[in-house]
Amino acid sequence: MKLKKLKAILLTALKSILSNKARNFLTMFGIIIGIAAVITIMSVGNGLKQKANSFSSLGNADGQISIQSKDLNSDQQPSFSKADIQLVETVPGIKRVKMLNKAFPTPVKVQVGDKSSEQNAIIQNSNHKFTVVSGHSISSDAFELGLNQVLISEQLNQKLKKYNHGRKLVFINQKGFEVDGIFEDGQDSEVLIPQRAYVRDFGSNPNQDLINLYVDKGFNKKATLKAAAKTLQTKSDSKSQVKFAVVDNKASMKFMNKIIDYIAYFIIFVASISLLIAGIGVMNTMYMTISERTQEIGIRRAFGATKNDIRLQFLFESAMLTLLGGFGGILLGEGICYVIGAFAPFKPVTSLQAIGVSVGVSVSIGIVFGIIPANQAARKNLIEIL
Amino acid sequence: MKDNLIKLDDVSKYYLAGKQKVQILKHVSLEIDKEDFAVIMGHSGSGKSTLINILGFLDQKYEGTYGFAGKSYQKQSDNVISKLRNRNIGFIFQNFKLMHNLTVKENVEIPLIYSNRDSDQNLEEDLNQLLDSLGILDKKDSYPSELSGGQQQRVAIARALINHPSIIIADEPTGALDSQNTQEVMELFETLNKTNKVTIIMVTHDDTFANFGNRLFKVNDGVLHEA
Ligand SMILES: Nc1ncnc2c1ncn2[C@@H]1O[C@H](COP(=O)(O)OP(=O)(O)O)[C@@H](O)[C@H]1O
Ligand SMILES: [Mg+2]
Repeated sequence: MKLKKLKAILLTALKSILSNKARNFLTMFGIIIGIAAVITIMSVGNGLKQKANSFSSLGNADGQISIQSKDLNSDQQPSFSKADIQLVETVPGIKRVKMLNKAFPTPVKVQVGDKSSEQNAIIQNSNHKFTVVSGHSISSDAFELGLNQVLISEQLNQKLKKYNHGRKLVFINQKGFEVDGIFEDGQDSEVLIPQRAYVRDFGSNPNQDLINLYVDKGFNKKATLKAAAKTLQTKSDSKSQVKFAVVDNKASMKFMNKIIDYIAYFIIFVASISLLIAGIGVMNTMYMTISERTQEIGIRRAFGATKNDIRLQFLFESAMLTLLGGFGGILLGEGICYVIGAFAPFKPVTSLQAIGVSVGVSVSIGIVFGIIPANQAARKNLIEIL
Repeated sequence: MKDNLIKLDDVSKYYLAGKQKVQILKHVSLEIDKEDFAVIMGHSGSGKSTLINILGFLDQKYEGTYGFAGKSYQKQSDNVISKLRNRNIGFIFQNFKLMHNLTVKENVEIPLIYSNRDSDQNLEEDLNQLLDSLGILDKKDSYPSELSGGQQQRVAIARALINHPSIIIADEPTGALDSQNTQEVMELFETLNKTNKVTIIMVTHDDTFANFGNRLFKVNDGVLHEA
């Protein structure tokens, strides 16, 4: 198509839409609501998933392998060596291996009085990296003996102040801990817990060393991960002292993700119905526009517009109308996401995919519901409309 | 033998009035040559518009044959016919038929949208010259509602001329104008025909203009004869 024609078609469509703002806004309303719902639910689902993933060190990796001492009484936490990593990289199907930060934040429930909240905790054997700004740091004896003492962040302290009535007791996962001091904000956790105390109170060591594995497309993930663990167990320099195992952590995550997906599908289904109704509104508006503009159609046809030109003209107009509605819906959806993010314990995240789906859906509605009126416009009898 | 620009042979046209088939044009035959200025007269309802709608390829449903520049377009596709209208026919209507949400310039440019003259560098210059020659260059960015009837008809004439058509078809072009503007528009047509060698077919029911062209036709109840 010639540029001049395209430009004329777009300008005419825009002019027509702008000259009927009230009616066209009403037409777009359904699209705006529908698309806003799509954007909101997709972003909320996405945000929830990311939040869920952030609680686990897995992130978007395909699996994890842990390293543990065969001697269960050993204090020494073994870790992956460079050689181990290189070994895993040679396993067929392994795309990438990522070492994890040993002290990965672990979610814990912090309770003071009747106020409780979910916080990230660092569980380690020293005050390393933490700067105490009031109170005092945890003594090495306390670390050694595994006393129930903790440090909390300034921010968390601010929150808890109102509830602790000057006492220094907090409950972490229902066990009592004494707050020794307050550390400077800026850590990715709000609580520091001595590792011995954590292991004794909760029976697990959250700091076992892990590597994240990414599997190449086309390889069976489970089998590849197993093969990697086996390779380590048979070839690693430390194979006699340690046990390598594939961590089974995806199951619960997967379930969670699935539920989020199902809810999203359901809401998108509901949104589709509202979009369908909106589409019928678009069709009606296009019929009105066309009947108001029969004279214009006649003039354009008399001076050389083909039936196709006329059809295209109204299809563009209809698609532009719904696309504008789509943009409105995206903005409204972002607004709703912003509000949700301000109140909910997670931030909705709008993916490029969600924007793409919204734009695609709104344009499609314009085309699907515009095609019949546009065809009618193109087929009008010239003599009767001039 | 020289080719006629337009050659109608035994053309009849029927309309359905209810269930009844009414014959509006009765065996019309007509030849018009390049650079002719043909005036078609007749009473209201005699079939003048019906005739020139066929001549201008607005109406393809008739009996008989119609050759344009030696070719028949009776079985051609809409694309071909539309292109033919775009390049070869310049319509002028009694009630101007301008688009009121477009400026003078945009109205005149309508035929350009549908012709492939994108690369033509001189379009803007052409347009200005044309508007200037019609005395409406200063109205280029005005809207039709801001113009007098005479000025609006000049805009319509500019629109008909912009693609340099082989023929101008005007259906009662002065029907909505006062006598002053009527006179001016008719003189404009005369200049176009004499100086610019534009072929013109004009329908009018104003006897004053019977001898304006070099050919005069009369339509009487669907029957055409040259006077
Ligand atoms: N679309 C139509 N359907 C039925 N009859 C029509 C139609 N258009 C015109 N006619 C009839 O055809 C006759 C000729 O009309 P027209 O060519 O417009 O006359 P003129 O232009 O000479 O005044 C009139 O009697 C009119 O009623
Ligand atoms: Mg008429």
